[in-house]
Amino acid sequence: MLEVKDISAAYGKAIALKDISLYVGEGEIVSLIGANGAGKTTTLRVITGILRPLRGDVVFQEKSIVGMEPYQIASLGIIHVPEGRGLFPDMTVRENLEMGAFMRTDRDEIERDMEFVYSLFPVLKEREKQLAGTLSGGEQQMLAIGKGLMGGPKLLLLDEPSLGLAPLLVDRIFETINQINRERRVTILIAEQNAYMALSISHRAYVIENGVTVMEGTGKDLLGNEHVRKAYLGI
Amino acid sequence: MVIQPMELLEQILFGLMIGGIYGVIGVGLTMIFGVMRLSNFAHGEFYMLGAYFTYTFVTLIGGDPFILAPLAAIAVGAVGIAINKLLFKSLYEELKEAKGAAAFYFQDLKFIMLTIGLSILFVDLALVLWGPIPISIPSPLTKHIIKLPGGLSFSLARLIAFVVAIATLVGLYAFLKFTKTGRAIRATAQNPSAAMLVGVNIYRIYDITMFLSTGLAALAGGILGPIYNVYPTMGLDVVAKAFVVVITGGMGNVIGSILAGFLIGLAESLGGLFLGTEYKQVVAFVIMIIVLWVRPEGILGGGRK
Ligand SMILES: Nc1ncnc2c1ncn2[C@@H]1O[C@H](COP(=O)(O)OP(=O)(O)OP(=O)(O)O)[C@@H](O)[C@H]1O
Ligand SMILES: [Mg+2]
Repeated sequence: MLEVKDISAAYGKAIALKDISLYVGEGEIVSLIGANGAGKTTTLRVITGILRPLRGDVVFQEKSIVGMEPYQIASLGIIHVPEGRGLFPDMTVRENLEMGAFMRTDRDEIERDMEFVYSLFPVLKEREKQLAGTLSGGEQQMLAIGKGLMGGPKLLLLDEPSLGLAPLLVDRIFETINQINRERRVTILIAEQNAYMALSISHRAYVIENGVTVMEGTGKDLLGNEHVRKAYLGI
Repeated sequence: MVIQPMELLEQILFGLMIGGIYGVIGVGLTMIFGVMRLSNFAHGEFYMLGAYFTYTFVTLIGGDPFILAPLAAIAVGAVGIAINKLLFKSLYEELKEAKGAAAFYFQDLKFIMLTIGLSILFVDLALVLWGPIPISIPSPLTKHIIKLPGGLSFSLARLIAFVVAIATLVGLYAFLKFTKTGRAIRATAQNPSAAMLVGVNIYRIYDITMFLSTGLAALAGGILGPIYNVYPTMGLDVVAKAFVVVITGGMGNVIGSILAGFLIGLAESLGGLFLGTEYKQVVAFVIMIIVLWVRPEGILGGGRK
């Protein structure tokens, strides 16, 4: 479904990605794991057009999308829940969800998706009229994922969905991600530092170090891998 | 000095009228700051262009300036879009190339210098096209005096200017609050990269913002043209006041700018009455300093984290 081919990218003169390649198959959950500054976020930014790569290609459903604007890429069904959550702090929870559906015109479907999001995260329904900027960190993360779902994604990119959440909530979030993948058949690409959680729910995963993919495998394989266990699982 | 109650009432009315105009000018400036993070030092020149365009339309087509001012505002708004597409976009792209993914390229010093350059360019252009001598836009409405009981009187032109200003502010508020485009503008102001990711074409939002901002300034110039003099540097005289309104109201906050516009308009009028007209110019700055002393983020600024 998505193929990232030999992408190099930089912020000004600082190189962040060096010939990175990966692919995500339809229906999969794939995760990118790696340390701080490895290039996970940068990879997602290149996919959604926020950052233009220096070289390489990104192909989505047999079409090259490099050089397209973020709003055009979003309209193809690639929805990015960015680092920092990407909420509109002075809008209410409901307005944020409606903004998530900005590109869509199918009123009834939007309403149904809204109900689905509220069923995943009932607390959002309770706080429908509260400003997003005043939500707790966990609630904001739920809203970020909910807002992503409102875009009607074919491919959902999640950047650090567990960041700053209590362990119990981390479990819930990953469970929900799994549920979204199974029930909605949304293909998901996750960038995560919480390697254990990410690998447990992923079909496949890539390990990124210093802007290159150094390892690839199924979630299970990587969980058992010596290097991964030492470097990312602390075992 | 004894102040007659009627005099006081008259100054309050004048203050509200001029406050509405300050609101319109300030809202344009604050929108561009809020949405694009651009400090537009050429804002006063769009106000000036609005007055001259109105004047030109009146002399070419004929008709009342209060009817032609909105047309002038649309024409100046088109100039605003052209500036965004022809000048801003390439610098924006260049900064984006150099800096990577951060979204606030309009904050760059290069953009501020560019707006200062535009300001000088437009003043010179006006000198060439319309000459240095102040003109006034003829309107029969300025001679139509409304007399209220108690000796209170003002021209119909001022009343219309006030009504146009209020209608514009209400219309703008409704547009931002209730339309899909208005919501996209607010979203872009709050989090531009998140707006892109939900599918907002922020280049288009910047075009619309430039159109509204420059058009609002031009409208203010057009409706004040028949009341005050029109001259090439009139924008330079108003831009400082516009920044005072924007800062007092809270940078980027539309409602804050409207409130600050009225506050400063009223304070100036009353200040002129109580302290003498020679102090009128100082009043706005004093108000700004007092407001910032109490609330450093301005009347309604700093609401978001
Ligand atoms: N906006 C930016 N401007 C300049 N350099 C950046 C920017 N964002 C990231 N970088 C640099 O690019 C490299 C890759 O960063 P990236 O954010 O992709 O890492 P990451 O794997 O997501 O890390 P983390 O787990 O900490 O989020 C780092 O060296 C970082 O310093
Ligand atoms: Mg990151």
